[in-house]
Amino acid sequence: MHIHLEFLGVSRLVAGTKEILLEVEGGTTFRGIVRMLSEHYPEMVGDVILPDGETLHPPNIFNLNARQMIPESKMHQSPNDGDRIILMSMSAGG
Amino acid sequence: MYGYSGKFLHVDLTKRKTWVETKPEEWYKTYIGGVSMASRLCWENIEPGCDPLSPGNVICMAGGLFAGTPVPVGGKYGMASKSPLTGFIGDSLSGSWMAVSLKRSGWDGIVVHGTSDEWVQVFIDDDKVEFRDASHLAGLGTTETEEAIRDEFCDDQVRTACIGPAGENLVRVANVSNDGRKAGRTGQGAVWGSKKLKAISIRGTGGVAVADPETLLQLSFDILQAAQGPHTQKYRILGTSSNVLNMNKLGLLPTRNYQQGVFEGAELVSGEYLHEHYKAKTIACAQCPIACEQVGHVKEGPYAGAMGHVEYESLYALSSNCGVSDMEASIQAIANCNELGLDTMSTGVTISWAMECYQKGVFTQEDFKCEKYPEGFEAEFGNGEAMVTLTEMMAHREGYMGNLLAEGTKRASATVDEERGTETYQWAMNIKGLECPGYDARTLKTFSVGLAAGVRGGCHNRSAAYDPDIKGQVDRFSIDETRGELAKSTEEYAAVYDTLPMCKFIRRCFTGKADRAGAWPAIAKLINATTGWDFDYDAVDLIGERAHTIKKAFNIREGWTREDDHLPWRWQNEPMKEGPSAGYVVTHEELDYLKDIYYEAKGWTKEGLIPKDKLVELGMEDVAEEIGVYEAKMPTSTSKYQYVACDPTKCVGCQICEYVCSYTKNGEFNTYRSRIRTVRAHKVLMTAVACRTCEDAPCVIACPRKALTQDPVTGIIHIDANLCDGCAWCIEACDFGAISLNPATKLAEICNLCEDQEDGPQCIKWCPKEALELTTPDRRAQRARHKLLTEEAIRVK
Repeated sequence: MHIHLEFLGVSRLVAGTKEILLEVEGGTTFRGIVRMLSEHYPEMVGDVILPDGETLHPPNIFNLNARQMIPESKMHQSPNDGDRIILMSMSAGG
Repeated sequence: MYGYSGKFLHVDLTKRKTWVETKPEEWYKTYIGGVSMASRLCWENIEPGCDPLSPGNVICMAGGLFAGTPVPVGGKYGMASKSPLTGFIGDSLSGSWMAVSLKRSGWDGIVVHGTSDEWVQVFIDDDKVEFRDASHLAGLGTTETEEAIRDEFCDDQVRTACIGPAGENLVRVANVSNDGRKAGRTGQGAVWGSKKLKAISIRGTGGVAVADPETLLQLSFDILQAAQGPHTQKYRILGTSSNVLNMNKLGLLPTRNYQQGVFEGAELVSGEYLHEHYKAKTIACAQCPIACEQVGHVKEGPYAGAMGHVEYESLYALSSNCGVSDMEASIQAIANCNELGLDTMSTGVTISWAMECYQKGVFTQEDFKCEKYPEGFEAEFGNGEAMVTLTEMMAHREGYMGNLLAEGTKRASATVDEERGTETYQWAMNIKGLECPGYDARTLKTFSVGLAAGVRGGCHNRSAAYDPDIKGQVDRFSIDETRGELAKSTEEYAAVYDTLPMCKFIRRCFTGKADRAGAWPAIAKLINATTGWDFDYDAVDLIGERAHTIKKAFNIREGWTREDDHLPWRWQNEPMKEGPSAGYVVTHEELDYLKDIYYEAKGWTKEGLIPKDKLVELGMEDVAEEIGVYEAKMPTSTSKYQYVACDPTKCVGCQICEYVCSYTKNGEFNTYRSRIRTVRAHKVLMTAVACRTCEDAPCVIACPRKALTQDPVTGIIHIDANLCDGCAWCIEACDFGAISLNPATKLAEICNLCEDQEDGPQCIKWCPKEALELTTPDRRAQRARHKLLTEEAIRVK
């Protein structure tokens, strides 16, 4: 299945692109997508992804389809084909 | 006392005199510093009801506990006065060298009274104070003023807080500027202008004595190290303006005066775009290892040379909310605000209101005449030059429009609606008169009550209740019973940082977790190493509640009512048409409910007032005397004890129970003497009521003569006829109307479950419909649940 992955903030600077299209097997979890990111963009490990390579470094977080945040407790769940995941850093203020 | 000098400087501009005030250590432990201490000084020095722009208002500056020490991000101070924008407490924070100089000068704070006849600059040279003529500074911008004063003294250690032309012209959205930072919100600059106070300059040469310097240095070093890591990486690299795209994706980015939540030009005004095309430098406040401030510089085009400190809140207000996708115009508008001394947020939102009025035909080009455009200009959304020009017009109150917008959205809309018979208040995006922040609250339901109840008006910094909404800790599109407590908790969390004060961007750098458990123990250690006190988690937590309470108390004294906790009309009546937030408003019922549960969480009355007991508990006895309300603590009737209960579906209202009761107790058939009463609960529904044997019975608590006592085993209320004087307080206290006065003796009478009868309550024995029984609340609730379940099962079937 296909997942649109959009980068905002520092992850965009590291990835050097606004968005990628990921081809993943059905049942791939959000955590699995973080692992894929670690492999594609090793520079993200440290600033965006924790050294374990599968956990987003707070306050980085996945948002699903602009509606639902995916906190750490839901990272074992899977997106559906065609879903749009936004990787954002959710520290507000200013 | 460590960490403080113990002295406050009072300055009277009218009489040109100064005096020193000292405070006891307990006072410092209660109010700490920053916005809490500044607000408390307002409480003590402002006469209730005074005009914010009159000599009766005062300017209160309160230092930071950690200013002038190595504690990272502690270089901040608080400023407060009665706001000319809201009429309630106006409090702001600013950072950097001014805060450090204030501390080093040996003053814990400054209180400025009265009004000068001529423009004046107050120069504080450690313990000496000088009133200096400032007429040559009038009309200068904020950085121009700071530089001129530094040049006069030939000393770059003289730090200055000042106003620009906007403050001089009493623009109600004017701010106070120091070292490029601003005490930005609630119109503090206009208060300075009303006193003809152009600047306060300080040369502080002393050190700050702390209780345990070695520990403080080590703690500070650990935080400093953490502040260089991923916890602050977003702020260091992109700054807060990276929130533009976040909010846009979530449908929360204020666009065209909050008509929309998604801006088609967001990429062009994003932090990412700024970083790539306009970033000149990143700079920090004094004492800050994070350095979040992104300076944008325009190199060519009509705004070449413009340089502005670009924060998210400045950017949403002066880009998407005006429909402008030209980053260069935004940088110029922000630079104008910085130099002219305008709050970027209120300025941008007020301009966007004017643009909507133009869009909808309320204003025409002619209304926008000014020196630069004698024929006026088209102030449609997206016109960057119109936005830039309006910042200049507002600061100088130039022309009809400049003068109108200088009043802020609340007053400007009221004026226009009166003049033209329109309803532009519906587009005036303010709360209590303070313009709203860069988060559309229609789909941030927890935040909506945080904003509505915000003591200084529409402010994200004081509420912080957007946090659980946007991070997905709760469903931001709906409400539930947890939101009152959440709104309370987040605002008091923010108030701790605003009181110390410390920049909130450090919040993850103590232990990696930003919550109370992650931060409070570390903050307690910092406080203790600085002061020698013995603060713990709970003491740190109380800092926030006290800070919020003193501000709320100030507002109550100024006449605040529940109706003042409102949202802008648009957020309650007009859903967005597109984007993730489309279709939502905060309904009137939702806001009413949210206010109820928020006040309850705060321990306030339903009207939002503060009970005396609550204020005393917080150590604010003198405040309790002035504004605390008496609220008798009457627990609701839940009980483990048995009582006579009536099933209204069986009761026919025959009153046999009353006759039997009066006969058993008094030997006569007289329903007036019965201790059980038959009442009509509905047109066709009768029931009988007797004493509910409440736990912690309110009637017992209410009795001023201690005539009522409760049997701890049976719960039965006994009345001592020798002590009872028939005052009827017990009758007033009983929610069930189960106590009566004997018409002859004037003594209280109450059901005692016929404890003197072998076969128990006689009313139960004689009820012909078996409607009465001896039961407990738990048993009744269990039966009701069972009944409900059965009914549901039958319906499903």
